[in-house]
Amino acid sequence: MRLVIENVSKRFAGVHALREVSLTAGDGRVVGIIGPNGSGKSTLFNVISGFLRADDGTVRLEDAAITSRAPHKIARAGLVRTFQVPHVAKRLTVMDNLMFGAPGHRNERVWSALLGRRRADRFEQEATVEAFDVAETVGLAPKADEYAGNLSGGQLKLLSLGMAMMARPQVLLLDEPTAGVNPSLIGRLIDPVFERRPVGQTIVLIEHNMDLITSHCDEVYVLDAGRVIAHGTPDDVRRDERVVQAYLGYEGAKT
Amino acid sequence: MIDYIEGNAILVLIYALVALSLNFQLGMAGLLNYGQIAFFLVGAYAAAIVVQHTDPGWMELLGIPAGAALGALMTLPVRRLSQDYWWLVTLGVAEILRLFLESEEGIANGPSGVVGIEPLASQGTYLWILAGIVLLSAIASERIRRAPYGRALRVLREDEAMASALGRDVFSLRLRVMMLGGAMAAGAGMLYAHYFSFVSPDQFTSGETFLIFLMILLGGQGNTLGVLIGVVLVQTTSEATRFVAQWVDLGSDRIGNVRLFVYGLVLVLVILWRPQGLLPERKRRYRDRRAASSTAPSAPNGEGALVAAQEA
Amino acid sequence: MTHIIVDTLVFGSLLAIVALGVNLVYGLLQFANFAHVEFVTVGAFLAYELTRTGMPLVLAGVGSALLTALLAAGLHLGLFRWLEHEGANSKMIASVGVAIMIRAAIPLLFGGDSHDIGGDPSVLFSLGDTEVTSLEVTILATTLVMMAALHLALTRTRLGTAVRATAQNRALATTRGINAERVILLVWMIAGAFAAVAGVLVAMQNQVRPSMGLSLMIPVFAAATVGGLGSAYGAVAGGFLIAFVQNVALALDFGGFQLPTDYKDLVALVVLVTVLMIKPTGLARSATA
Repeated sequence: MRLVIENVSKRFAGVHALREVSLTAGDGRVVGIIGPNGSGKSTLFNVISGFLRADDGTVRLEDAAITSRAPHKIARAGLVRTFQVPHVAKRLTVMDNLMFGAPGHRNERVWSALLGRRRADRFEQEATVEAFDVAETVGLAPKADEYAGNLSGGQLKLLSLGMAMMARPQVLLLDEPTAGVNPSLIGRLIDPVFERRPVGQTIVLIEHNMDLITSHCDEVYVLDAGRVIAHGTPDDVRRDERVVQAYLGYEGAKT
Repeated sequence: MIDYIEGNAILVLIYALVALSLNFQLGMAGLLNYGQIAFFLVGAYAAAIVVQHTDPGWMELLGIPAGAALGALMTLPVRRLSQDYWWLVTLGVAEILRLFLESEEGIANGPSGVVGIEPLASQGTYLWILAGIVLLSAIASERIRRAPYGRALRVLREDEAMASALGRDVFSLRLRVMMLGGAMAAGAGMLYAHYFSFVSPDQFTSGETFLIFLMILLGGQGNTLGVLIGVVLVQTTSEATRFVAQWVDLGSDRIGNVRLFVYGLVLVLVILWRPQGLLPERKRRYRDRRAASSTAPSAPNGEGALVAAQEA
Repeated sequence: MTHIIVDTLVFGSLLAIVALGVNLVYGLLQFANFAHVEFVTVGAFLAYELTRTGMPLVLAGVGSALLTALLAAGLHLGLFRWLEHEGANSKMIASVGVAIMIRAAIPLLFGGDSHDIGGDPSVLFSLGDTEVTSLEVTILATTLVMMAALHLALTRTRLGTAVRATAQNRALATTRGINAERVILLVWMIAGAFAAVAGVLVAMQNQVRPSMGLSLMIPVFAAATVGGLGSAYGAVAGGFLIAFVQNVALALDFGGFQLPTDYKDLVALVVLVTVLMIKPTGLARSATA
């Protein structure tokens, strides 16, 4: 499934957060998005996933224009995003959260709850097995029955990644998954996501960690002040004058 | 004396139904619905109006879908449903409905209300019928809570953005829970009308909704048994103080206000010190039914640690 | 026709000073204080009790405003401060509890009767097809002076700037040396005082009654929400808007059928829902004072 963004712009009270951004991701590739703080990366994710509406331009998922679709419909169409600050249900357990990640909205009906439907029950059982697998993979198995609110920051990130994995989206948007995470734990965080990717899953990754970008991304887009200023392989982009300039303005090249 | 106790038990059971209905919205979905009494009113008045016009008795059952429709009405116009002001819409609808019935004499005698609603059974029998209904409702409530639907509601309570990002239609979930709660509370209202045999608008003020809030929050929001305990505690306290007031002749108004003050204080203290209530929401423990795997989780996982059962 | 204008100005200004208190507190603490309208009732009763000791009404009003301000501050120190990090739902439910406590305490402390508190109903002058009473002028003058004073304080004084900065971004304000706790207390006190004065003014029109706050709940919160929660200026606009539509709707003759006054609240709700459907964040552009 291809995600195609064409000339998307977004203004907030006169400030251009995004200017004519175009981006393509698909065919199971890993696309990185980098750029100084405030360059519009998260805004772009918000626009793609429907949490914000673009002022101009289009967002397409395969043939469908999802530019002004509601977030839940976009998720059902196969695009799931994570948040920079992990969003989890704090007063539910880790397992509850993971189970929720599975695309079970069709089974969430009052009648299924009261009368029990075989299909719903089977889905629940299969999801349970998968949830335990995912919990083990991300290393949260010992905390399976713990309230999500009692987890540490790093564990919350693991959980939100786990939930995204449960959703098995065709396009996965990861918003700075390793921000604030102890460098020695980064591998443990990221590897499961990449290793257990469903076949053909496209990943779009916002990151500040250049090592990660270099090692995992097939191609990279660079955003600065809302515009795409460079696009190419990680190596191309690293050497690009404009990119270095943009980061010098922010802070020295952050590897 | 038996009569008195039976009557109280019936009231407790009726309140239990309303509390369970609000528990879906407040306890599970975290919706601050301050207009729950409106659904109760709809059911009670459905019974009252039918009695007045000697329509076939079953017509009053229309009160139940009417309750559901009212729930939808409270939800629909405000799609974004920010809790910051949605409570106002729910309160407003409840108050306006009550005022409407009070001022439009033609519909149900306005402030004088409707008398003579027939009981459906003798008091003793009614008690058992209601007990059965409450039991079924409690079981249904638990089933819903543990089902995917209940889980979705509770996630909604915690984090809407996440629910949307994972494909859940937040608005639809809310709409459905409001209709469910509305229908159930309306049913309770009908049962109430047939017991009390007299309905008037002043029985359905927002003060009643406060009491139900207290029952749910004191007992344990989201916890079915907790809610029932909350109902019993609050209702028996109210009745006990009323009883004492009559006996000791302290002026029932004063006692009423003191009681209300204490209830308000209890609610504040619960929120401050024990927001989960007396019986906190129970964790759902999932059973790991995978075939024997290499790593055994060291977690307390109920007693079904790694059951090496073969699932078909 | 002009009576609509006069009534709108008078009632609207009363709604405005109560609603702006709601929004000031919301701007800092992110929740709608369900108990706010009870400050109106408390203010009226306190003023009444003070007049019974022989104090002139104006002095009693000021005294009541101060006492109510202290009550509001006490509520923050004793309760809401401890709920800072909880969700808005918890704060709101707590405020429901407080509202019930105040509403129950008032008849216990002051008796359940209604009282007259003075207020000059004599006509001062005529305007168009209506006569304006001395009381109405008093109300309008008082509320306008209060709102003007608040505006000046918010924009011209250091304390006012501190309030606005804290409402916009508390973390940032703290790094600039602003004592957020003190700002929050001050805002609570202003909210309480303004509501108390409104209570006195309403009582002058309508008697001191135990239910006076409750009867204002829907229009006040509708005004606060329509204006944009968090915006004091929005609350003022909201107050006048609600008052205006209410007066127009009640005056209109729908072909021989007139809306009974009982339906005031319905009108307020309709305005609320309509505005929210068009602009979900309310009238104000941004939610900062």
